[in-house]
Amino acid sequence: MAINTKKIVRYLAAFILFCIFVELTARFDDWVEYDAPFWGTYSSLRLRSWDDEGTRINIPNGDFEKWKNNSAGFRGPEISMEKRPGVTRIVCLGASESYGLYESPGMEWPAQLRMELDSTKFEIINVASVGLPMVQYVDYLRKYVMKYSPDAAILYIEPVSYVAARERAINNPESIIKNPKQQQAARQLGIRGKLNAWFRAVPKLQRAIKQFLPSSIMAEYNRRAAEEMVQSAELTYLKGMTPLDDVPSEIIEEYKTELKKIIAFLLENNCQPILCTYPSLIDGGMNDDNMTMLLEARRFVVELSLEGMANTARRLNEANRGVAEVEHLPLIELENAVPRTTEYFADNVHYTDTGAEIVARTIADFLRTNL
Amino acid sequence: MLFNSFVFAIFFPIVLGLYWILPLRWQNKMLLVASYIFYGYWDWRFLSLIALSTIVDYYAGLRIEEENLKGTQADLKRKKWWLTFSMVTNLGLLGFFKYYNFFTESMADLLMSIGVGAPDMFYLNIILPVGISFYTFQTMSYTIDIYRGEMKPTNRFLDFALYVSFFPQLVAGPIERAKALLPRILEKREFNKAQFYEGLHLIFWGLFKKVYVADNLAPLVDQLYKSSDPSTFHVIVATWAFYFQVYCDFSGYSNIARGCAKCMGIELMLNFNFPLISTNPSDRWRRWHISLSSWLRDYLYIPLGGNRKGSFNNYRNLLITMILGGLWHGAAYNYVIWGVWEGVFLIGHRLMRPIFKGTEFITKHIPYIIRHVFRVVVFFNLVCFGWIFFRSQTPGQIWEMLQTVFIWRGGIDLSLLIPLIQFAGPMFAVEIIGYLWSKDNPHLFQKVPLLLRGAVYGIMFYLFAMHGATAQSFVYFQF
Repeated sequence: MAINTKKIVRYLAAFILFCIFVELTARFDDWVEYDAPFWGTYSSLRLRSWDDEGTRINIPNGDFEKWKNNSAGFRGPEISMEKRPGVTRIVCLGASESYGLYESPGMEWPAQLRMELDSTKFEIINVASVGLPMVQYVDYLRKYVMKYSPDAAILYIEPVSYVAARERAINNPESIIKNPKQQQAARQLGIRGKLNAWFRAVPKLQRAIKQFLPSSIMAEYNRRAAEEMVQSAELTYLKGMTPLDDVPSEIIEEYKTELKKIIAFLLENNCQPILCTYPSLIDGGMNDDNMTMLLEARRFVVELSLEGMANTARRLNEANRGVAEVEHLPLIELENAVPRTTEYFADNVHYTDTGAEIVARTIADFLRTNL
Repeated sequence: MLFNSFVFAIFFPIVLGLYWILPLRWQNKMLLVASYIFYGYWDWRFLSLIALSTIVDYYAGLRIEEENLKGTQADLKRKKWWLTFSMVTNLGLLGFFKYYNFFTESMADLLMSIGVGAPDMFYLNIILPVGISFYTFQTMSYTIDIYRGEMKPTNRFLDFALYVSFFPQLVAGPIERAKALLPRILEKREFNKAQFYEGLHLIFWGLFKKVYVADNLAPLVDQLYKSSDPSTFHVIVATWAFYFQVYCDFSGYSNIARGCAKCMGIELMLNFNFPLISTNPSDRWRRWHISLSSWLRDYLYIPLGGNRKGSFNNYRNLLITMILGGLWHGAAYNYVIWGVWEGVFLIGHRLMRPIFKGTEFITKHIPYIIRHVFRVVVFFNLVCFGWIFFRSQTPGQIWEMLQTVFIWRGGIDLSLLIPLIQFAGPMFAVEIIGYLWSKDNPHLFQKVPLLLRGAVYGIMFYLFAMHGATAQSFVYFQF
């Protein structure tokens, strides 16, 4: 009996050592690959936060895995206050699709745009901030961007999130956009996030297991997981209301007003606004291949049905065209520029390297002939 | 079915579970079915080839033994006939599926070169059945050994069928001799905890070598060998990487094969005994693909005369053996050239032996460890030189690579070494420690304290899971 206990203790100790060394190797790996701190917690909270007034911002010099902010809090190379003579400084304003999510480092569309254009004529600054809501654009521009005196700003606004965020803000006074308490809470990691930050090997191994499993099993697992997440988000945010299948006219008008505010602000500051229509994977025609992807996208915007997401994308792109016409502003047509397949879209609104390349090339062609 | 696939991760535990539940007579039947499923998962049509080879050799074995017992001159003739029948069947299958197009294309090229057009109707779109080179050699050893009176045939057909198709080593060896493996299949196996753990360790270590080392080095090697204008250093690094890749790919497979068999209480022969530290060609062939090199020695080199009929004949026999060994690897000229190189290398070493002996009065003053490391490093690079022939796709590429190696061009880009160190480094460190720890047993972990084992497994597990490349086929499947 004593021997068995001793044996069990020895095997247990070996197993604990096994786990410790898996974790240590994960940390060493992060340190080598990303220059991550060996001992501290390591999460995406190192990249972004809210300022004291609740504006969504990137943390200057923040870094996490493949993402790195410069000292101004933007993704990309360091920038100087002074513009080089003869160079048009263009800022790219948007959220995660512009900041870059799935692309390899340096392949997000603003970075590819920088490579496409002649650097003696154009300077491209990616001022996108992940999760930046449209209602905060003016604040964000005023506080963090205009000091660099941009000559032009590409407004790359994700329409679906605008509608969902607006609905959520109305239905939920505790919405994170308006509530500093929630923002404060979001600066801290949740239990799962803390566990993942402490035991860095765990999320990595989860990813490895998912890669190892056959795609058919993973597809089914992902679909179910997405459905569950949507259901849970619906319970939290919809509170019994039906998701919108279409965007009411008043929301479109509000959107236009908000967009005009941003335009007016830019024009006041001698910055040429350039509008874009927004490409997304969803187009109303769903199939089994992209259904999971769309469900995963919908969990962030449960205020809209899948049909509502497609309609919103279409109608707000139409609104962009209308505003551009009324305000006599340049507009880049991107809605149909990127083929709606998973070769170009990594999810509903984020691109693969190839998708980002098409966006960059389309914008570059426009800028070369119009600026 | 690949060892490094999800399907095998499900398949093997089920087979293992059933195996230890069932009594012996059902164990073998179940293993036979499992082996056919394992092979048929790739392409069920080619099961017919294994079945044909099995039936022919089973009956040929019985008939040869029958004639052996009768012992008259006429019986001996019939005995030879049955052996020939077995050889023709096996080599016929191998020749047709593996070499038919090579020989018809070579013939067409030859005819073209003398101005005679060759019709392309002789070209057939043949798929090479996975593992055919391995199992045909395995079954041939059975009839040859019976013919030579070195073993008795079995009259248990299903057990013999299992010997031919035993799934752990079916598609890439080790090429087991019937006199070694068949008795282990016939005898009762007891569950042995130590053997089982050893098996699991071998499986894990093999997967690590395959998935972390070989599959990560493969793209590096492909990229370097595809580059249009490589520097000399580029080619050198690519060839070093290829040595590690092919070693870890193949020895990884052998480790997994031996590990799976061990978990079932069946011992398979050691196929690789840390060949990276060989110091001369003979030493290397005692350590590299041992099951093939010993097969070629016993069934080709020695019957040709071996070293019995003077130096010239000895060298001729070595050259023939190595050329056929090269051709065994694939139906292409680069394998033939590689075989020639290996033969010349062996002959050269034998010729140089007196010179090496003559210099001993100088070298004996150098400490042994320095001498040994020097020899290992020099020999490692000579072997790598041979890998250029093996890895190149065409004689043209071989020529291009040789030019690059001999006429130095370009600078030294040390960053090329980073992936080599990153992927081959941990494996090499573990094997070298294992070698120093116990020279006759390259597997370090069996003797390492449990706690240290836990720590090292932790590191290996992380590297394997996180940096293992996606499942790729084993290099030796194509042979």
